Amino acid sequence: MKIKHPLLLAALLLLTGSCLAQKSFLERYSKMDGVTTVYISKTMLQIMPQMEIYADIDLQEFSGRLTGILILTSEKESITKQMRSEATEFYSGKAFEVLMKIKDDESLVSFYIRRKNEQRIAELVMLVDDEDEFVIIQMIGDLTMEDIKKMTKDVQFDH
Amino acid sequence: MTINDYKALLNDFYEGKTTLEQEKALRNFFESKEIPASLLNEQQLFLSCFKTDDLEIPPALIGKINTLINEKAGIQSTIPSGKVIRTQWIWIGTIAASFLLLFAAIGIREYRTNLSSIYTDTFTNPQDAAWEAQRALQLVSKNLSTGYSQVNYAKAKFNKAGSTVNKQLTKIAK
Repeated sequence: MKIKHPLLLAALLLLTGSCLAQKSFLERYSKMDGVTTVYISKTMLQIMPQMEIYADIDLQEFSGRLTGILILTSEKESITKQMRSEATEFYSGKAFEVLMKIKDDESLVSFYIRRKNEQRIAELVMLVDDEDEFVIIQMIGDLTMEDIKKMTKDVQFDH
Repeated sequence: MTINDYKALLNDFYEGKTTLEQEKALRNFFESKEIPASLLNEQQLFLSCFKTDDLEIPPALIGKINTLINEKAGIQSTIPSGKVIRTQWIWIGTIAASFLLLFAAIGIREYRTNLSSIYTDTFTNPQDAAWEAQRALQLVSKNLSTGYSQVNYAKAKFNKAGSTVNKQLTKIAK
């Protein structure tokens, strides 16, 4: 019984460390010159449905399930190279799983999800690796796979 | 010294209050042949304290005494070492707890810094925020749609190939 306490402490430290790892990774890039950072909070997302928005995607449908959207963009070659390498390594870790990767002549788009449990998704991350820019879009909230499917347009899903 | 002095000295001897010189004087007195009859019993008892030659100690008793001594020594040696180990663990625990508190403090500080720097609204105007959120969602949607379209395309091709293979197998079977 006594041995459990050091193990619990170690687990707690590791958990804290892994949570901070993502924050420090995004934090580092958000502070760099040449990186554009945009964050939209839950409060701001909740205000939006009251507004008139002309777009294809129904933002109102997702605003209640999202707690924040973070967007990091860089067009600076020296940064995008480093960002590409670090982001790919980070999101390929155990906490995330690959949802989809789409490669064409111009770009490589990768989708990663972090699950809360079997049904719920806590985070959807999209990495867009273009020739001239690198974009990280982090959507935090409480989503399901159905919600992610609803984000697609004009695609018929066979069940 | 009078007889009464020797008697008083003898009492002191049995009470452990005599010096070596007094003991020597008592011994000389009792070893002499001029002992009064009233002190003959005392003489035997006193002199027996100094007789060791004819004292027989059973071997089993020596063994028991040695065992007892070793046991006592063992108890004495284990108690302090146990205490030492316990003290060491207390120190290790204290140091570990201090490190944990330090990490927690750094973590909370960094978490707050991160919260204040990254996870704070970029826009104060909800219209701008909505536009940006919409743009992000559209980008996610566009790419997800492309991916799912490709999945559906691959699935359709796979189904077509499957049905062709089935047709051929049916023909062969006929």
